[in-house]
Amino acid sequence: MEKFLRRYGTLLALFGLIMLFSLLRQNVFCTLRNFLNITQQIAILMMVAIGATYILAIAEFDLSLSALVSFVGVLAAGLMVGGMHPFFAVSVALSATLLFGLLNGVLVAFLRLPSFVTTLAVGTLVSGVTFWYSGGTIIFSGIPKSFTILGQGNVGRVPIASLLMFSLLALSAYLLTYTTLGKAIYAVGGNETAAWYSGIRVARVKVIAFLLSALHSGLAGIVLASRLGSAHPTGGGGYLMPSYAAAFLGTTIFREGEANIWGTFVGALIMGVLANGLTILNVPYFLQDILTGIILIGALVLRASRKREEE
Amino acid sequence: MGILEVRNLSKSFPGVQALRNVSFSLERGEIVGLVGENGAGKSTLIKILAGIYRPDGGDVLLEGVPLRLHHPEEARLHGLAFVHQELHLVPSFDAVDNVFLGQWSRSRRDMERKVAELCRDFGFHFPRNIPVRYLSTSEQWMVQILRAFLEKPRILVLDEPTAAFSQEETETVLRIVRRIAAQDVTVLYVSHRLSEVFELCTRIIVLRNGEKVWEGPTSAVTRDTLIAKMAGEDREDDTTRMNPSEPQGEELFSTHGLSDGNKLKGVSFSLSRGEVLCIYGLQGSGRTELLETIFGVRKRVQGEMLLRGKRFSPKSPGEALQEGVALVPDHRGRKGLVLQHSLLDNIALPHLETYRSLLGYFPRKTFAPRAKEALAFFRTQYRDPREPVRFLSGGNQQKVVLAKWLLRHFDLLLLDEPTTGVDVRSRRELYGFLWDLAREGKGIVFTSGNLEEVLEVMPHRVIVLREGKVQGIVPCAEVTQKAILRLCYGEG
Repeated sequence: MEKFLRRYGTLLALFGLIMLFSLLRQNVFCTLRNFLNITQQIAILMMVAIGATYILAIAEFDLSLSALVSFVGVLAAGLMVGGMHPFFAVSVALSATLLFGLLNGVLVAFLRLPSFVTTLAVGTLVSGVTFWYSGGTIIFSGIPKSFTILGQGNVGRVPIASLLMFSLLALSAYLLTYTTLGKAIYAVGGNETAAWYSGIRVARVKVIAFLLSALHSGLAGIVLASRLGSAHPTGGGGYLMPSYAAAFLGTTIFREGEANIWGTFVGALIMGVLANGLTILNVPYFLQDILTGIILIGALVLRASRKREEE
Repeated sequence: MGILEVRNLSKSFPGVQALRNVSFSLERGEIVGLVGENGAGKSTLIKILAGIYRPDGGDVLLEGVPLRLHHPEEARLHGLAFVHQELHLVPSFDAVDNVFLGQWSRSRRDMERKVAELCRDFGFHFPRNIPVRYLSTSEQWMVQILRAFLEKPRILVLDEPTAAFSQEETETVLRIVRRIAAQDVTVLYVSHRLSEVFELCTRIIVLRNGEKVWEGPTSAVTRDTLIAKMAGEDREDDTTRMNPSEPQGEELFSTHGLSDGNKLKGVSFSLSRGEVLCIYGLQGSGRTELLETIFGVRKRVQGEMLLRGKRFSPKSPGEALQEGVALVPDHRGRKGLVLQHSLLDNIALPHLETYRSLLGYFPRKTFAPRAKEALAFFRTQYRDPREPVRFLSGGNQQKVVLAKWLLRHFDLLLLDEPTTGVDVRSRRELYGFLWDLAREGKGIVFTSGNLEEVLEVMPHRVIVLREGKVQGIVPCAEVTQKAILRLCYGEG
C-alpha cells in the first residue's frame, strides 16, 4: 500500500481531486462541457510546461519562458496592427522567439554559462525589448478577427486550443520516448559526461532543447494573445512557475525522477482541475495557490522517500 | 614495542580480498616505505588507519593501546595525520585560513602567528596571504603539511606525495620529510617512485594482492629485487598466450609527437591492422590522456595522427566514432554509464545514429536482442534489461560498458583499464574477443597498470608510458614483468 502510494501518489491526487469536485458539484463539474473547458483553460500552461519538460530533461533551467510568452504575443499583435497578414505576423513572431531560444542555447551549451542565471538575463532582455516594442501598453485595437479563432474557436464542441495542445503533447511524447533525439536528450540530462563519451553531440542536443522550449513558449504566447484578442507586455508573467511546478510534479510518475511529457500532462491537469473546481466552489483565489503549493511539496516528499527506500 | 602496530589486518570488498592478515610495526621517528603495485592494498590499508574504512578483522595498536576508529576526526585526535595525493584545500582561501580550516575560533592574529612559527620551523617561504590557488602544487602540499602539524602528529602518512611534482620540488619534499622524522615523528611513505623510497626510508614493506610479502631494511634489497618482490617472481613463466595471430603489416593508425598541452608530452607510436597493443603506465602516467586525445575528448595541442593513411583529428567523440574509432573509458560511473537509466538505453547510446530510421525513430524491437546478445557474451547478470544499471554490482556494470562498446565492430578500439572489477572468466572472454577482432584486421589499444593482466593478454607490443612520455617499447618476445617495471620506474 505504502509502495503503491509512493509510486502512483501523484496520479491518485488527480483522481482524488476529480472525485472530490464531482461529489461537491456533480451537475456543474462532472460534465463533458466542463472537462473540455478545463483542457482549454490549461492549454496555454500546458504548452509552456512542455517546453519546461525538455529543459528539465537535459537538467538545465530556462527562466526566460514567461518573457518569451509575452514577447511573441506583443510582436505578433503589433505586426498585425501594422497591417501584416496574421499568418505572416505569427511566423515572424515565432521566428524571433526561436532566435532568443537559440541565444539561450548557445550561451549555455557552447559558452557553458550556468543556465539559471543566463536564461534569467535573456528573459530580462526579452522583457525590455517587449516593453520597448509595445510602448508598455496593451495592444488590442486593430487585431483581425481571424486571428482570434485559434484561441476562441471550436471544432464541433472541442476548442481549437485544446486540439493544438493535444497534438503538441503527442508530438513531444513521441519525440522524447521513441526517437534517437529523445534518447540523446535524456542521456545528456542523466550524465552529460557519459553522453559525450558515447559520441553524442551534447552542445547540439542542448541547443535543440532550448529551441524546442522557446518554440512551445512562442506557441503558448500566440494562443494567449488569440484568446484574449489582445497582447500585454507582461501577459506571460504568470506561467513560469506553474509550468515548472507541472513538470516537477510530472517527474514523480511514469519515467521516475525524470521530466516526461505524460507526467507533465498529469501535473498540469492537477493544477487545472484544482483551479477549475475551486472556482466553481467560489473559493477565494489565494486558496488555490496554497493548495497547489501543498500538493507540490507532498509529491516531492513522496519522491524523496522513494529514493531513500531504494538506497 | 613500536609506536604503531598493525596486527592481522583484513578487509574485503564484494569480490575482492583487499587485505589479508597484514601485520607490521613502526618505530618512533623512522621513515618506512610502503610499496606495491596498483591494487596491492596500499590505499585500503591507509584508509583503515585513517578511520575511513573499518577492518573486517585485526587490530591497530597505538603505543600498545588498541585503536577503534569510527571517524577520520578520531584518527587526528590520536595523533595520526594524513596528507593525500589529492589536495584538500579551499582554492580561494589563503594559506592561513586553509591551515585552520574549520577551526577559526582563534583571532586572525593568533592564527597568523602560529602559521608563521610553523613556516619558520620548516623553512617554508611562500606568501601566506594570497589565495592558495596562486601557489604551486608543491607549495599547496606544504600548506597541507602545515595543517597536519597544527598539533604535532605522532605518525604522518604521506600518500604518493611527489606524483605530480617536478624533480626540484621532489628534492624539497624529501628534505621536508627528513626534517619531520628528525622531530621524532614516524613517517609512513607510500610511493611508486622507488628511487625516493631508497633515498629516504630505513625500512620497506611490500604488499602484493592484499598480503604483506616482504618487510626488511632498505639495505637488504636492490631496486631489481624489490621490483621482483612487488610483481611476484613465481608468476613470471606462467604466460599462456591466447589465440595468437600476427599483425597484418599494413599500418592502421599512428601518432607523431602527440601532446594535449598538459599530461601528454609528445607521444609517438604506430599500430598495424590486426595488432594488439598495450599501453602500460601507472596512474598519472598519461595513459588515459593518450586514449582520450585520440578519441577527441581532449584537445590535441601538438602533433599529428594518421588513420588509414589519412590525417585524423577528431574534435569530439562523435567525430571519432564516425571514423570507426571507439573508446571504452575508465571510471564507468562517470564516463561510461548513465547510472539511473536502463541497461538497454545505456548500450544504445553510441549506436543511435546507426539504428536511426524514419522520423528519427529508434527501433527498440530490433535493438534489444542485439544488446542482450552482447550482455550474454560477457555473462552479465541482470534481472531485466529495462532496469536501471545502478542496481547491478560494479563488475556487472563494467560488463554493460563493454557490451555497449563491443556491440559494433570498430576499426580502432581503445580500451582504458577495461577489466576493472571484472572476474577472471569474463576477463578471458574479453581478451579472446579482442584477439578475434584483431584477426578481423582491427587495431586494439588497451591500457593497463596491472602486469598480470598484460601477461595474460600477451599483446604484440607493450608501450611503457611515464610522465606523458614513451619510456620504451617492449616487443612480445621480451615481455617480462621485470622488463616493464624497470622502464616504468626509470633506470637508477
